Amino acid sequence: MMDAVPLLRTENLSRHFGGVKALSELTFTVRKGLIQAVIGPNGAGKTTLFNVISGVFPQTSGKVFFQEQEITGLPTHAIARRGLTRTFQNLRLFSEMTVLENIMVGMHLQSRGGFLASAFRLPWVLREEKRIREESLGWLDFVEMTQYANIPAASLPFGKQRILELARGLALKPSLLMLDEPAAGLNIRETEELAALILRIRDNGITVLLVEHDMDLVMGISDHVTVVDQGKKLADGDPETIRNDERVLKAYLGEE
Amino acid sequence: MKRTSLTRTRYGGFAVFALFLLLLPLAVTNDYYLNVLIFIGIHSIIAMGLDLLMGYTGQISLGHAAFFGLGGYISGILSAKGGWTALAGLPLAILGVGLIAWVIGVPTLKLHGHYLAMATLGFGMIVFIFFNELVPLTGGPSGLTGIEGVSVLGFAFDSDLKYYYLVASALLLALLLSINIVRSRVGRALRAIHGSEVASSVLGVNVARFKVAIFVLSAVYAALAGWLYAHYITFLSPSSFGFLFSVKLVTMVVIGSLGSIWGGIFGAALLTSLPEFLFVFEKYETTVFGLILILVMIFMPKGLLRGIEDLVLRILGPRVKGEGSKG
Repeated sequence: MMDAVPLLRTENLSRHFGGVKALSELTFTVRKGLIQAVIGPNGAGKTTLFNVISGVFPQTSGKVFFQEQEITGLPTHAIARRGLTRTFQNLRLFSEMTVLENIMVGMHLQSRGGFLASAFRLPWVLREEKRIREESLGWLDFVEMTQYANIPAASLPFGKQRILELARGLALKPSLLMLDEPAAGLNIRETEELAALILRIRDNGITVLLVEHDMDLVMGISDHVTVVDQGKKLADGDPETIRNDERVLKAYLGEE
Repeated sequence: MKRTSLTRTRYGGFAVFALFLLLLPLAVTNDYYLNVLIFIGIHSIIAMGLDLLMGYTGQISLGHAAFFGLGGYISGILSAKGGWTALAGLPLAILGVGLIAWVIGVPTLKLHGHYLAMATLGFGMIVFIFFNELVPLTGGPSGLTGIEGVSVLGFAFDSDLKYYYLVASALLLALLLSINIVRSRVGRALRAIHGSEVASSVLGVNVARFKVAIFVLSAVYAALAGWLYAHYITFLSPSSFGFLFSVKLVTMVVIGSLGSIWGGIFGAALLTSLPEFLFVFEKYETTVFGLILILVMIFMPKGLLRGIEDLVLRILGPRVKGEGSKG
């Protein structure tokens, strides 16, 4: 496992908000083909880490490398173009659009119809539309949501909305899919289904990085766990090692 | 088989509307009403473009009267001062306004909500001042006279009826392009931006580029409308392109139904014809429009077109449901 190729690497990554060091000199690696988790107490900087990596907001200092190339400071859409996408802790679905259309937006980068070509419905655009539609239906099938294809995303049950956001990211065919608390708000059965889905995603060759509070989920499916606290890396290792790490227990349970 | 039915649903409404526009003059023989229809058509084109920007992409512009005016003035000045034909002025009006919109759009569309509204409002006011003060070119407040009518290959659109068909053709072209854009990858990207900019960008949508592009396109629609306007009344004065007209355009889109191509046409028809037919409004036009806007926002926040749709469904709804439960 240790010799796996690094897919994503941060180097002394920091992000300050005024005087608050949300991320402080964080260096960590995501290896290709694994499910890796970032855990830590509330306010540890996990979501900030996601936001900086995905380009949602800039770092204060430090660097991010993706597939051996520096992506620090690139705009979000350019980072997506390289094969890195993510979901959000607070769902960011296109709620007025149908479930299928949400997935089709996920295939934006695998299609190229622009204003003119679309306005005049050139033959290649029509072929492309057909392909996008079929492949998007394929992704809906992958997450077993075909029956919801034509309803507005907003009218899905909450659990299905989470899965839709995940499927939308998959449609980009990313090398790295980052999931920000994918189990938040899900019941036990839904969480089990999510775990199975994440394992299937990994088996399809997509590396998964997740931030998650549900420890059963994290310990159950992760190949590698990174613990952060107060913006710093506290520990790094397989789930078993992390479970028995004293510093981790302290961070979660307090100093006493 | 499936293909034909798909094509029918896609363009069914368009075909019916085209036929309607074709036959409408049979019912409207009075030149005055024809004149109102021409204005409705011109306003519809602007409203449709503005709806692509506001309804679909979720960006507001309070400066579209300026693009409308610029389209008219560019071609009008070339015609009145340079002796250009209307047709030769058209590409310049469109390219010129497109370029101006691009220059304005790149920095402006980085702003959100109220700030974007303020920036476009400011732009509109500056352009309005130019129309007034560049007297040698625009004729200033007293107006620009001597603009030629439209003639294509020796055929002059010199009657209201002929001009009506010219405007109707332009409207149908704009409508067709809008329908196609909305139902494409581009349309999905625009609606996605409306839904969530950050989610769009993590899926690879270049949000800034799409926002600028749709801003330019909506300005170009306004420029086309301005060109039609200038060469129809053959006289331009700045007062037609002020802030209040920008607000009226926004009202058309909002009342019609945001995010529905047909809504723009509906709103334009309503707001253009109302003051013509009920001239009691003359003094209170702005007040009445404000009132209509408030009432629509309170009772039909999705706009009149969708509001009426919902109302019909609500009235039919229980009956349909009832029958279902019996069966």
